[in-house]
Amino acid sequence: MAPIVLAVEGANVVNDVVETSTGAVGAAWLIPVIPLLGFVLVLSLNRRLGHQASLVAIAASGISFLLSLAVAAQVLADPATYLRPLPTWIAVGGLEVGFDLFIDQLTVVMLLVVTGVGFLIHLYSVGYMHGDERYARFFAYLNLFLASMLILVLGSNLLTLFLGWELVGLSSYLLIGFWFEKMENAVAAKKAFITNRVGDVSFMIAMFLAFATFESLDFLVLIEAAPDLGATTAFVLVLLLLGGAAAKSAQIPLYVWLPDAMAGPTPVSALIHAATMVTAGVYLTVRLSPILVQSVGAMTIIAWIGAFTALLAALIAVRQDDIKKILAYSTVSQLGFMFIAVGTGAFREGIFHLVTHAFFKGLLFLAAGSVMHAMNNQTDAWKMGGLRKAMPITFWTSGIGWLAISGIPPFAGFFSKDQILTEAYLHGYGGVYVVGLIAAILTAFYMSRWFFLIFLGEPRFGDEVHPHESPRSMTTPLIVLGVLSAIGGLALNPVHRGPLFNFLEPSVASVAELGYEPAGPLTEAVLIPIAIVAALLGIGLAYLAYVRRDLSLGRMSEPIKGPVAELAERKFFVDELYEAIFVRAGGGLATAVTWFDSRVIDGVVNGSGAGSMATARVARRLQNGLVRGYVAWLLVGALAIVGVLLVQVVR
Amino acid sequence: MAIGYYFAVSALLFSIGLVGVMVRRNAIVLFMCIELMLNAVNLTLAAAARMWGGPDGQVFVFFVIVVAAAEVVVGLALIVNLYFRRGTIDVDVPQLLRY
Amino acid sequence: MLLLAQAAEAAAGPNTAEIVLFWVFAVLALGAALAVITMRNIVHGALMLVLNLLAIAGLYLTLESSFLGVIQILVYAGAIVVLFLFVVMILGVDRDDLLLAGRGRNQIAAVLGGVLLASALLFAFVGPYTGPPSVCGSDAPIEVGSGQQRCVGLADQLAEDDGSGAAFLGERMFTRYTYAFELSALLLTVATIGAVILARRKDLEIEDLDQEPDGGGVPGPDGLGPHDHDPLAAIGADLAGQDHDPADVVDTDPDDQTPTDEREG
Repeated sequence: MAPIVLAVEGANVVNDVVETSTGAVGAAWLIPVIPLLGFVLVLSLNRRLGHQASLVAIAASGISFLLSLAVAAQVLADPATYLRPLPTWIAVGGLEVGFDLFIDQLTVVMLLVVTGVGFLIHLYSVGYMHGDERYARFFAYLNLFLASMLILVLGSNLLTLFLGWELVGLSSYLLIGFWFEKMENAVAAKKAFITNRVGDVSFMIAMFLAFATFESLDFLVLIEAAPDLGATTAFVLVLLLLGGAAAKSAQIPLYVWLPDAMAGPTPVSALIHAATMVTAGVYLTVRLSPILVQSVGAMTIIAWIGAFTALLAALIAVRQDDIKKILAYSTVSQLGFMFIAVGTGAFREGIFHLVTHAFFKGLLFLAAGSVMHAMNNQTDAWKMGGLRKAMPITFWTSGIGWLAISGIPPFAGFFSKDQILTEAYLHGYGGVYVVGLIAAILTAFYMSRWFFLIFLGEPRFGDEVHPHESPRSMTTPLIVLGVLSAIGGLALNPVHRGPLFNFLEPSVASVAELGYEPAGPLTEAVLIPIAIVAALLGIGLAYLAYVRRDLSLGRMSEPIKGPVAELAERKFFVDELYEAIFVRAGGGLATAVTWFDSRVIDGVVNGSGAGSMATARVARRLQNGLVRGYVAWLLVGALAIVGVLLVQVVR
Repeated sequence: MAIGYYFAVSALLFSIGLVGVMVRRNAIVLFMCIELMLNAVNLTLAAAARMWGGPDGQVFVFFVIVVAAAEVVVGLALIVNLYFRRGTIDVDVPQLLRY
Repeated sequence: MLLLAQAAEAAAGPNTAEIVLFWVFAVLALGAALAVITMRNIVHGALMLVLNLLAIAGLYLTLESSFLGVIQILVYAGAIVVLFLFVVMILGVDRDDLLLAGRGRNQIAAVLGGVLLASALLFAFVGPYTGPPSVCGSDAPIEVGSGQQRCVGLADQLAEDDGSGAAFLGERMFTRYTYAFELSALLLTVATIGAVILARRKDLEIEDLDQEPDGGGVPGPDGLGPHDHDPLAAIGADLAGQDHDPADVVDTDPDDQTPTDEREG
């Protein structure tokens, strides 16, 4: 087949499109199917197996990971865009949608991240969910989620991607509300689902528009026909896609579900809300990068949304006390960075950050889970402290994660974050750069605060808590992710144009044509040290605030005070704003409609019945049984007839 | 003379009969007033017969007389029956056919 | 009447006779009608009704339908009013003790309604019919001689038969309205039977129906029933509420050859 040319004129590397049903790619359809089978099996064998059911789930995710490795090997060996034909799903009118698999370099990266981290978290959950009465069901849901995410990543057209998109939303709902006995968990799950739904509407409209413009939803068709898009159509289409991505990836204005989603078990937070599901939005935009580059204006909007989200979330995170909430806002903020990358045309840097973020954020969440496990599910950072002695493995791995996210070389986060900001600057987005830099400083600050409050200092808890290190099933993934966070950046993309960057080149659109100019005179050699200095600044400030102080008063000793801090703690009242506007308005509308239905519509129906009864009650008095009365009516009738005749006569 | 005069007489007769029906409570007198009305109609028909110049109107009158006779027979039988059941021929007394 | 009219016409002018007679009979009719509706004594009222009917018969005569006039006198005044009087006599309600129509307000309303109707009818039907064409119909030739109007068509047709107008009427009735004629005969029969049934006393039972023809007054093949020589009196006795055992009327003599003796016991 003809090679697909993603880069317009002047591209160095292009992908051939290869249709195959053999080899690893041929078996790639098993990658989502096996976890799906695992889901079904675990649910049906729930009673019989009990705790052993988790083994099925872990095995399923393990097999998926191995298969992904095989596929990766094939793609590495023979770089191309592989199409694995599968049965057609819908063939109606002009619309033909199949389950075909679309595997290229980008897909491979996503596959490895999803199945790798997924497998580790399955392992972790054995220890974390031990003793839960719905233990097996948890694993079933995890498998379902894995299958959904894989469908999303492997699909060859927008509709299959949307199928996976919706399914991950469903799995997220099931998993967030896993402990639905507590009302707030169910409410959080509902909030996540509904907020995602809003984004889904935007996504669907984008699909309609895409179909109307391109007559097809296949990625191949979209990619090839992208250069022919008109400016307005491209702008609208990209914005609609942004709407969908913003819900899934928790950007302004649809990020409000992510902090609440911490109500779910910590493995869920680690897998779905750090490593995989929230990255679906980033994946969508990068996959459709050929369309994105047709509208620089829309891309700029994406970049600024990412920037503001990063800043806002970082500000809020500074003043949160719940260790999971801090991490949640941190995720929102890091996703903002990824969107900055996408918006400024740094697609591959965004994917790189996606990968490193999966490592260190997953690590941090699992560490938080480990801490909670040891502290009887305590999440308030002010009631912790000094845990470095009690939980050494957790302490050391968390340290690595902390340094990685703060952007300290040579840990992973430094490379990816720095490359994003550098690229933003070099593509002319000076403002975005500055905002991103401030967010980076804040990131270092609040993550250091997180680390210091939990592990350093003196214990701020009483004798009723006996923290101890977590079991091996929980610490092993921590160690693995710790290693990855430490060396991942170096291994994948130590220099700006490193191995990953080149690997992904044929999968994303080139921005060479967009004519970016650097925002200023600074070069990369200068920007890198600036990033390091920013990170150190954040850590240093946090050190001053939280380490060399007496924190025994607990929350009272929080040094960051002031009106802005209070605003940050109250999350800038965004939730309250939404509630006042949308929830009240929706409720008011529903009340009005209900009133209308019961009063007007039912009123008409009941009223006609009542009306006819009232009329009858009056009208039947005519029949009084008196003959002479009837004769009187006769007279009236006679007069009427004569009247009619008279009228005719007169005329 | 012009037929209109006959029509006038019959109109007045009809109205008088109708008023009588509405005013009197005795069943037999009621019946007699109905006969008045029928006669008024007969007069109209006969006058019209002369106006039309044919016997059709008179035939109609004939049939009206026949029917009036039959009606009187049955009606009087009913009145008799009513008298024996209720003891009175006041038409305001039987009110069973009400709502 | 025709002769009388022609004589008077020859004597006193064109159709003066008709006009004079019309006014006489009209006033008589209306006055009698008013009397009927206002008299308290029912018998007097019935007599007033007779007067009204006779006046109308006179009007028929001035309308040149002598057959109808005679029929009116024979049937209406002679049979129907007699029936009325019979019922009055049987029921014994010759004096109307009932007040008129309850409330005075209803009476006034009724009168007003009547006035309204009368004026409406007068306006509708009298106005257009006071001109010459209404005398004879629009397409009948009018012989206008020395200021008179006369319906030639009707006169011609009337002249064809004998002066009674019966053939004039009968010719139309037995050709075009035959079915109506037959049906009216059926109607009379049904009315008669119905009246007989309706006028029963309520305590009579069904099986008495079979014996009724014997003792009820309809004469059997041997003439009158054995006990009653006056069938009407039997009816009268029945209707008057006497405990009249119908079995008494039936001849229980086994020698009697009553053909309808179906009694078991």
